Amino acid sequence: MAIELDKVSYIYHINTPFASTALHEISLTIFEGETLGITGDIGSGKSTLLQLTGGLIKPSGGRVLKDGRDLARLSKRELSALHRRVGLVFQHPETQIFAYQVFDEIAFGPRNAGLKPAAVTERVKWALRAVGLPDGFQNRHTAALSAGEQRRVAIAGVLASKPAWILLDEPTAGLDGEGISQVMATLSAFGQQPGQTVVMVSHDLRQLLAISDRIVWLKAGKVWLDLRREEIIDHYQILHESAILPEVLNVMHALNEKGWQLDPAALTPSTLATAIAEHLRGEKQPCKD
Amino acid sequence: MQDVSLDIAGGEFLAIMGRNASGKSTLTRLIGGLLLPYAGEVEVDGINTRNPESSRRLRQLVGLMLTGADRQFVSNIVEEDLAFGPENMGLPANQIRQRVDTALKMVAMEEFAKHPPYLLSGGQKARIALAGLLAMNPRYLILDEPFSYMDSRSTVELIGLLQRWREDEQGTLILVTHDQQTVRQADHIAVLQEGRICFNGTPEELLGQEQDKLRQWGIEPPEISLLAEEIDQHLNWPAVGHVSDSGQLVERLWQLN
Repeated sequence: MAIELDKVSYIYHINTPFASTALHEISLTIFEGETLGITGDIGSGKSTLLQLTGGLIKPSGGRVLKDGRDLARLSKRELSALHRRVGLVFQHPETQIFAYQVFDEIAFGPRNAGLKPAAVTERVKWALRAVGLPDGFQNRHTAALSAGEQRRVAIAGVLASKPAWILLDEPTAGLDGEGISQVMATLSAFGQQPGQTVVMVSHDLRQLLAISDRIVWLKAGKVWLDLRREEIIDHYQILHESAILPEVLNVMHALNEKGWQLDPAALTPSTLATAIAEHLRGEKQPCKD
Repeated sequence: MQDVSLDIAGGEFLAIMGRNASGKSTLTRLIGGLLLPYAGEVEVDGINTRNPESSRRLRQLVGLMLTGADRQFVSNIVEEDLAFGPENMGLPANQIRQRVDTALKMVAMEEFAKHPPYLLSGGQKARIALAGLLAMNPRYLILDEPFSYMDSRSTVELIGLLQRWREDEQGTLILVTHDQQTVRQADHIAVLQEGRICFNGTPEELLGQEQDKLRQWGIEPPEISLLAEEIDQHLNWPAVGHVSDSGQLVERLWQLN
């Protein structure tokens, strides 16, 4: 399944004095199995793009296509089949927690999908592990959790349905360092599963660099840059002019300027450290066949 | 909270850090007088937060922006929302007008005066929420994670606004945040762990702490130290050692090359 946005525009409160264009004639294809990061300044249209992709809102102009078929022309049944394959994690997902017990919260999706009780229990335990929460956590009360714990329970609730597409809007906002690492490790492991598609919106480029195969930068409702991971460092100058960049990019760029040839995909502290150490030891980069 | 003692000097910029659920938000509510301590006292400009007779004065002194402030608007129009505080203070109409305009200008949102706040983006809402506090002319601003949705540039801009407010009004800024770039600008950082203060010092002192200690406190070590540490681990000797910015790291690597 691929989702294609074809000259999509979105105008909030169209035909009112408050009309504001969030997206303007965006064309973008999201492929099955990729981890796509979407970033941009405040008000650049990141969240709107995510909601259009998930079929939650309809474009004011243009089309959203699923495998070449216009979402607006799908039958109700086809649309709900699509929604079952797409899991959405909104901003502040913990505000939508409704169950008293963590187990019931996470089990909601699997139960609705008709899983047997034993399978539901397994799924809940799996989802808790996936977000880095310990076994036994399913017995806790949702109201007595910290913000970070609630966030992870809410994400676990979406993961528990094992959606083929996961769309996330700022999933780490407000979490502490450890919470961020855990959520990012979850998403990274999740995105590497064959066929799993992850689309994550974040204002924090570091987090997107940790997981993304490709990153799209939005600016004032348009696609400003659309780069595969290994192309990013080649666009250092233009990126540097428009934002404060993660240190990995600054360091890699400075070393490349000095003639080092580091793996352009090594854009996390840990992979860049490996690449630098290899260079210093005079080792050749491993050849890719 | 347990046995927390903290002195915050007038005009200071104090950052409060710590894990989720370490007591950061509780501390802000105690200072703002929304919560009263079971034991011990909180005084703001000599006003004890327990004293019901001065609670009105306390509310005007301390502007408190809680997490999720962008979901607590009281009006459908931005400028009306901002007028809510000054109106309740009983100010005459012309002064209310002036305060609302000044506050909007301070957060660079003048053009949105007539907008419904719920149509703004998350970061814009945070600015409006801040303007609502500024319209009250507080002496102390306490902000509980105002930046969680902002891109780096907007965060820098907002911090710039807050710093200017401190200079112009001799205001005191207390900020709960996980943002590393922001805390570097603070005069002091207090780190909370399980309801106690486990660190109180300058940003340089904090970021110079051992990485394991920082992680234990829920603070992600700076990207540059992570990078330096991992390179040293790969090389099996402290080749890079301590560096504080990318320029130093590149310099050191170039020497090693």
